[in-house]
Amino acid sequence: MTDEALSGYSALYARLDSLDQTAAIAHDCWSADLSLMAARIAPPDLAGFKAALDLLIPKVQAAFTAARTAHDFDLTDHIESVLSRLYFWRIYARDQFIAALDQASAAAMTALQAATATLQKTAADFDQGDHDTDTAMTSLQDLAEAVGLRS
Amino acid sequence: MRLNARNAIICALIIALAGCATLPQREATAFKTIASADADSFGKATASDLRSRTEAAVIQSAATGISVETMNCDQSTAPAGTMIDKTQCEVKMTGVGTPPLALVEGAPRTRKLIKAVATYAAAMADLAEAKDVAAAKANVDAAEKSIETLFTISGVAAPAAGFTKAIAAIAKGRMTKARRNALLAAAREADPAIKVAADQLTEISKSIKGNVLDSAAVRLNRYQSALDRATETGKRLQAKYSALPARAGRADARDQLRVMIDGEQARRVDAGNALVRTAVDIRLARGMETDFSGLAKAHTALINALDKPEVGMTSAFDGINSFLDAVSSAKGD
Repeated sequence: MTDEALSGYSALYARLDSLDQTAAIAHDCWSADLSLMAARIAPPDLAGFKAALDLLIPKVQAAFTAARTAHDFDLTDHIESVLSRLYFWRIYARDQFIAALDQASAAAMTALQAATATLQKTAADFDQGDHDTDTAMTSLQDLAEAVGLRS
Repeated sequence: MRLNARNAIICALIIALAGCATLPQREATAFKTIASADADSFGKATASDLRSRTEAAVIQSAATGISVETMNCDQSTAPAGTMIDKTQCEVKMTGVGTPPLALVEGAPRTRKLIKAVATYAAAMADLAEAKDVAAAKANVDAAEKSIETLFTISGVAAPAAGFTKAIAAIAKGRMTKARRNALLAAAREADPAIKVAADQLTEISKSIKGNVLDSAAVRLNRYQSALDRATETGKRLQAKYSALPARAGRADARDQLRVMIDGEQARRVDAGNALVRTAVDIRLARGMETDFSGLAKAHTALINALDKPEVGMTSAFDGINSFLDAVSSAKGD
């Protein structure tokens, strides 16, 4: 996470904190998580970052629902702004995981394409009948020799 | 002696025909069906992910500072005489405190991989199934003719009844073996890739499912807020409208309020429809396929069937040996 992004978060949380008691309670709950998330947001600890988000998002979602139920539209908007970003960050974290896995697909695809080409060539041979006829005739010639029909 | 030999031939024929290997068509077809369904399922998942996350991004209110931008798509920014790499043109979500979320369909290599699995499965089924049956049958017929000619040329008396049929059965068995060997070799070559594909699809699909649900949660929150706000605003406007005396000189104010009330009602309808659409997406995402282990299992079953010595071929070749013994006896060797 960039410094700019972190300062953006700080500003959002500060705004939440200044709103009312609900926000203050929410802030108490989230502040520890936020600092934990900030520490883990660096790419080397993607799993830790996602785990922090997994802990944080339900709390923020609950606060959002509480504000919405109370018809506190301003607070709802503020929380939603933070909450959406948290969801987007979790999607981003999963995207990094998907991208890493996706790299491994290239080698597997090369192996599959080779196997498919082998099959398709074999099928073409069978369609032309060359392979079968050769096999069949070898069989028949062997048989003929075995039974003395052919020297 | 000849009668015994003929009985032996008939027995051998029965053994050869009964044992005449049937290729594992059932396993090949099952694998093809699973691979094709998995390719469809995975394609739908990545498309659903893109559609949902794009909607989640574009519905953010201007106040959040989140925006959607194209990156490296404008050719006019490239140095004269050069082209921007086509892969660099992207749509991204940007904003303070916001990840640079790509609004493109994910897992491009894995999408190609599962399509390659489906192509491979189709090629496997083609070879195991009906495509070359006609050719195989023609070859068997040709083999029958060949052996009849062989008998004629060699000056040996016409073969016993069923003799050419028995030889044809052997020839068919040999052809089946050749096909079986080709299938088995290809299947063994492809097996590690199939296992990788099954694991990849499983792991990536779990993440895609999570992403669809998260972007749907963003949408749900936005539309619920919009619905709540429109409802509350509509109520307040309606109260004002009702309180405004319907008398001369207030018509303009009442009309203005009426327009505003209608506007809020339209917002409610839009938000309600969007909520329902999002709920449908959530239900679909919850049912999304995330276990692709069946693909690897189906392929293992196919290899086992191809490799199983007791299925088809062995008994067919036992039959050939019996048959050769019987023919030798018939010739008085």
